[in-house]
Amino acid sequence: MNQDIYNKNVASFELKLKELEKNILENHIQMETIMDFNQFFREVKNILTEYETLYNDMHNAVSKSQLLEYLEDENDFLVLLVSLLNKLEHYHHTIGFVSNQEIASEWKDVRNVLKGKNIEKDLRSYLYQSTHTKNTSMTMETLFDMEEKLENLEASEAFNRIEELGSATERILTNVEESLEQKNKIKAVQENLKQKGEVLEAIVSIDHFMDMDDVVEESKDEKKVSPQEVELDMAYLDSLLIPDKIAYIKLILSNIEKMPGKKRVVKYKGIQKRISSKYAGRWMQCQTLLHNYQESNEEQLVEVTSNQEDIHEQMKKIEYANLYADFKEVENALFKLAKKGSHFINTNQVIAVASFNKEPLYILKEDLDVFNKIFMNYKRMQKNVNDFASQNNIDVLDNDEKVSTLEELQNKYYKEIHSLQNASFSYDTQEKISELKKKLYRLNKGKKFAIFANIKVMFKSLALTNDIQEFLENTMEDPETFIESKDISDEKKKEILEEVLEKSDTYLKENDTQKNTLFDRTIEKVRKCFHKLPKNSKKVAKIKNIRESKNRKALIGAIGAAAAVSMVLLGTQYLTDANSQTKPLEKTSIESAQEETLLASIESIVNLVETENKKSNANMYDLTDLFQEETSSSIEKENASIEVKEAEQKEDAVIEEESEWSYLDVGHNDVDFGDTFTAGTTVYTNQDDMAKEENGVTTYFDALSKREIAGIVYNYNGENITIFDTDIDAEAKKQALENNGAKQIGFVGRNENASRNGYEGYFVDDDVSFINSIEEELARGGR
Amino acid sequence: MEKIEMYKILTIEDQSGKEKDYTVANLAEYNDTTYLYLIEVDEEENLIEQNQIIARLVIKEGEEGIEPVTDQEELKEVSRVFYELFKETIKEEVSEN
Repeated sequence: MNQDIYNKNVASFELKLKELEKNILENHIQMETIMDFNQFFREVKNILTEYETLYNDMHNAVSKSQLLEYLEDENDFLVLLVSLLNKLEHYHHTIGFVSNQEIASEWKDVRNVLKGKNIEKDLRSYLYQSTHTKNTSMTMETLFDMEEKLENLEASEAFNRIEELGSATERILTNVEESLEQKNKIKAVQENLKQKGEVLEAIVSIDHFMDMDDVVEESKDEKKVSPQEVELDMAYLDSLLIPDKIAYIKLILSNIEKMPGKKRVVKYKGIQKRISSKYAGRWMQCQTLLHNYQESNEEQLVEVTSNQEDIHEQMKKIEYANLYADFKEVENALFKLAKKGSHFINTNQVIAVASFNKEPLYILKEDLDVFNKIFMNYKRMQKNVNDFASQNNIDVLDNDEKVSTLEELQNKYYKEIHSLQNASFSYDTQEKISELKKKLYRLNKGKKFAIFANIKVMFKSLALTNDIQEFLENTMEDPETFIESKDISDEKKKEILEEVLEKSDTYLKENDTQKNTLFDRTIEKVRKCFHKLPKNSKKVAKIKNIRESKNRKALIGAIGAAAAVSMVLLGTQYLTDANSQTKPLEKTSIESAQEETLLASIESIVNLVETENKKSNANMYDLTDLFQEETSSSIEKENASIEVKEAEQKEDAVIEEESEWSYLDVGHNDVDFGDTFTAGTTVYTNQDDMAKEENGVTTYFDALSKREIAGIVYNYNGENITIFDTDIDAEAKKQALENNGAKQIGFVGRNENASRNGYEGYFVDDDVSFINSIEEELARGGR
Repeated sequence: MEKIEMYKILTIEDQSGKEKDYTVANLAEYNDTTYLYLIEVDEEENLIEQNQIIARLVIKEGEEGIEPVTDQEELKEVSRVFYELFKETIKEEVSEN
């Protein structure tokens, strides 16, 4: 006798397997929830591991082979069981949520398959015996009885169903993703699944998903709890889906609360319990985990409204939208007739008909027959739409009143959820929050259906082909997702949205009575998305990160302080007209003395800052280093501007000392002939002779007067050289200087009134030397 | 990514891969477009007032980005909008003080 086989270990394992099989076939295993399933499958996997260990511990190949033979029946049973449970587990994980009813139904199938295999085995054995020996312990009656039992079990059908669940999952998901593009595929899959009957039922709604919370409440009997039942198995917990985690933790908590021993009061977020001191820490740990999982569970619930529409929902939506589109087509036909008649109101050519939609209609008498036919159709279709909507829990949102009611309800639910979330934590509040979120989900679902239906009506009326119609419908229904898609180029997106907007505008023009708030808002959403597409992709800079400021208060203060500077820069953009020379800072109408004071304060701040601004060389747009197109000339320009900047920084001290030039706000660093600039400050000369009218130099230049650049001053090898735009070959001279490393240090502004040379300079208050240098310059024959 | 709101810090990457931080000094919805008034900040979040930009918030190839406003007419109109917004800011500050 091989001691490897005939020993206590193998015997006890054999017994364990037989016990397992017996419990399954005699229905002693509790299998009512997903948690029961997961727990049971875990135990089965442990048994499988034990079997593998036994097998591996066999000393040689002979023993191994003998073991397999010895446990052949048990092995077949175990392999089949694991195979069935594997398929179901895969299905559960892929779908994400499974109702208790479904678990029970699956388990019934599993048991039937296993029973059927046993009966088949017995039948095979009987048939073998009856053909090979004359001895048989089975009568014909028993044989027929067995065959009947096998038939009633429908074991092969059950086996097929489980097989289908295991392999259908991927197909279901793929079709959900493709459903937006290919309606026929969805229909074909639905037909296929419908034939499987119970598989279609497996695609459950969120209502069943929410039923998971019932798990803990079921066991209310006060049976004693063993210490093992209060152990939180973290590895097991990790393997569960979030709703199962919540149910598992709730179960552990419930068990902890039943543990005997010296009690102490324990609190967590408003929940107060008397817990055995020994388990108080564990209770707190479980409560923390539960709270965290419930929060992430709720986030997922809200997200579900925009993710993962299953086939059922998709088909309902399309069916309802088709119904609604047909209904609206008929309604449009009625309105067209009414429009025709509206031109003849107060004549005897029209007849007023009973109003619907609260609007009286005037129909031409000659159109009355046609009207009546269409109206009968209208009433019939209206009933169909409403019946379908109420049977499938869809809100028909086709008027402003209903839309505003919906929005009021939505706001009401959001407020209630918000206040419950801020309240003390308790199971009750969490359940209330879940209920409210379910209601929100349904409301949003109804709204989405209504939007989609309205869009369908519009595109249907445009007689597009089915594919185009569908594509545009889906784009319009969810334009944000459309523009965020990376599969379509931005140019194509613009093209498509333009088409959608054009068609919408055409539709609304032709059907002005069909305007409703929900539809208009949908079109507005599309328009907003259209405007989010860039005008010039090359100029777009990516946003890598968005974060809160480290010191928000300080930043807000700094921005407030800088606001006046920004106003100055902005003011120069929109307040000055390119054609006018001077235009003072525009003042708004003053209504009260208080406003006057405030505005005066603003102006004084602005004026104060202007001076500071001039010194700090504020530039409105420093885009050269961010948004330049990558061409060689632009790179050179960038390099040149960087050099100019560097030169500016180096020569700041020199410039200040000489007080010759000031940089003013021209919008870019490179100054060129014909550029205009705005004086950042008021300027004047204290040289009276220069200020004399006959010289054409005015004494006072308004702060925001615009001047044209008539000359550019370069520093070349330590010497100042001015190139005037009226110089012969001025452009060539400028280029030559710049190519040879000359740096721009200033410019000369044009004054058309100046009779002498037509130029003047801008300078700080009492910089007489500047004027002198111009005189010197001219005297040197710099022209 | 977080939502873009006033006073948040945006890290902007140009075509050459260089990154700079800007704060949203102001934000305006105008003509169905979101405009941002951005001021560059250094590592300590001090304002670099020389670098201020008006840009549109856009979505390029499925990702959020900013596009500077260069069209003169558009710039004029949007400048006015921001001018009024900043004026309100100053008014509030002055009245608080």
